[in-house]
Amino acid sequence: MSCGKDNISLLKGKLEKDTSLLLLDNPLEDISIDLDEGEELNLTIVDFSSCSYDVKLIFNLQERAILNIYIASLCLNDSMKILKVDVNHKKKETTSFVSFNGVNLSSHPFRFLGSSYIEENALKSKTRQEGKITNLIKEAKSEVSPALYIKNNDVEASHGAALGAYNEDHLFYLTSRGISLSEAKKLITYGSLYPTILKLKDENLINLAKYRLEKENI
Amino acid sequence: MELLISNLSCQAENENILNGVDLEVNKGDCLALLGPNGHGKSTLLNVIMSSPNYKVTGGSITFEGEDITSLSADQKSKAGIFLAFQNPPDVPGVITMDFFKAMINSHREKPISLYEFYKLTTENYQKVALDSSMASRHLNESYSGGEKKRNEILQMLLLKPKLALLDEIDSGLDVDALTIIAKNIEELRKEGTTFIIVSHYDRLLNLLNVNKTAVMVNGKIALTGDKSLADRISKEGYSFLSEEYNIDLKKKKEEPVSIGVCATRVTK
Ligand SMILES: Nc1ncnc2c1ncn2[C@@H]1O[C@H](COP(=O)(O)OP(=O)(O)OP(=O)(O)O)[C@@H](O)[C@H]1O
Ligand SMILES: [Mg+2]
Repeated sequence: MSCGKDNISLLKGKLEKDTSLLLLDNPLEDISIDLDEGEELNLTIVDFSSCSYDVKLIFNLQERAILNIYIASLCLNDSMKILKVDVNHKKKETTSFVSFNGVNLSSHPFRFLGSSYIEENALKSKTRQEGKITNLIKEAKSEVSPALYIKNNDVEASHGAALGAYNEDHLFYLTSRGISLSEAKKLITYGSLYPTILKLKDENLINLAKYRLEKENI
Repeated sequence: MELLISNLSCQAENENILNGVDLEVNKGDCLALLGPNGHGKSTLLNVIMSSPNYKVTGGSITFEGEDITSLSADQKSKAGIFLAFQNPPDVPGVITMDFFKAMINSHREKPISLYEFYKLTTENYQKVALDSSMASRHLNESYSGGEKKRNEILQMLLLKPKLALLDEIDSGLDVDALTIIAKNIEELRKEGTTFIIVSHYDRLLNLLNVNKTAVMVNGKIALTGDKSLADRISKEGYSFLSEEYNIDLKKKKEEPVSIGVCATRVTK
């Protein structure tokens, strides 16, 4: 894998089981990915670009396919980011997990709209979505909206969403130990993005992502 | 005088909670801060530490001769004050080790070396009988009640404060942990740390050389004394305060008369 360039085209061809993508200069694009019978995909996307976009990622799961998606995203200064993730459970015994962690520094919309569709014959399928955006500025317009559309009874589905500024109690706890307010915020912001960054499969990508975070000085 | 609190008042959500606290603590004191539930003990400790949950509406806090009333929490920590929280919050995402490192470095000019950090934390994990592998977990997240309390003491040992405020550090601790924590407190005391200890049980207080007692009622220090006052309270409870000292123990938060079926004045 080449490092330093945003290898967005990575998502266009046949995907490896563990695929990771770091975006620093280019926007996400619309994609549609089919997971064949028994296929597994662990996709990590760390999007620290300052681009604006409104895109949809579509995943179609055939029998026993397993999909795990981990997304970390920064919405910087003047960008607007709208990301829709549709997971279509077409056949039985399919599993999907979608996790989204965003940090918003922009006064333009930042939205994560995740939808899981479980078809009538997708029995014994499982889906879970988790979405969270931390607002770092007062004017932030964030939205996290996980949705489940289920057409049979024999499934396990759950979702969680959270939106918010820094938790005052967390900040007080950290600062009461001598840590400055800005350092405390940094620890918490890093904390929400780090687990996803560490899922990037290449040490170089991990370092590049960390470097960008440092540079943005959040 | 190490800590001087004069006429300190505060509010939270427009309710008065502290109503003119006066308290003097000398260097090396170990003061037991007692009082019935909900009368302002934790509030006082949190206000001393500059919790954003309270608004100081009057009075002052002086520490080592300087007015520190309006300092921020991190400045107070740097000045040498430490609060062990009654309920330490879970901070998901933040790794305990990263937190400890930031905490230690905020108290030093030069960042601590990796080796020194490892040595210091391992040593102190041992002192509180916790496994040092906990350092790689998220801060306080899914720690047991007792582990959280030990983790507070561990932080106190790492920072060696001049003034330590311990809020119910003994609640939920097993007997062995209590002994361990008492030992650590006494050790720091020998090095000169002053303590204010809030507790509802005499077990910890009896393991320590408490030399002063202050009783908080309705957001004020209603009575002060030596260790014998704490002993008496643990034997008899608080009722003698109203019988002998005419101290009203009823919580004075006046709530509006409810317009239900039966209008009664409720005191919370
Ligand atoms: N942030 C807050 N907002 C509103 N009310 C508060 C707040 N903090 C404390 N109070 C109220 O102030 C009063 C004093 O609370 P505090 O926690 O200081 O009591 P305490 O003496 O420590 O009690 P305990 O022994 O039960 O721990 C209580 O009635 C409590 O409900
Ligand atoms: Mg309390």
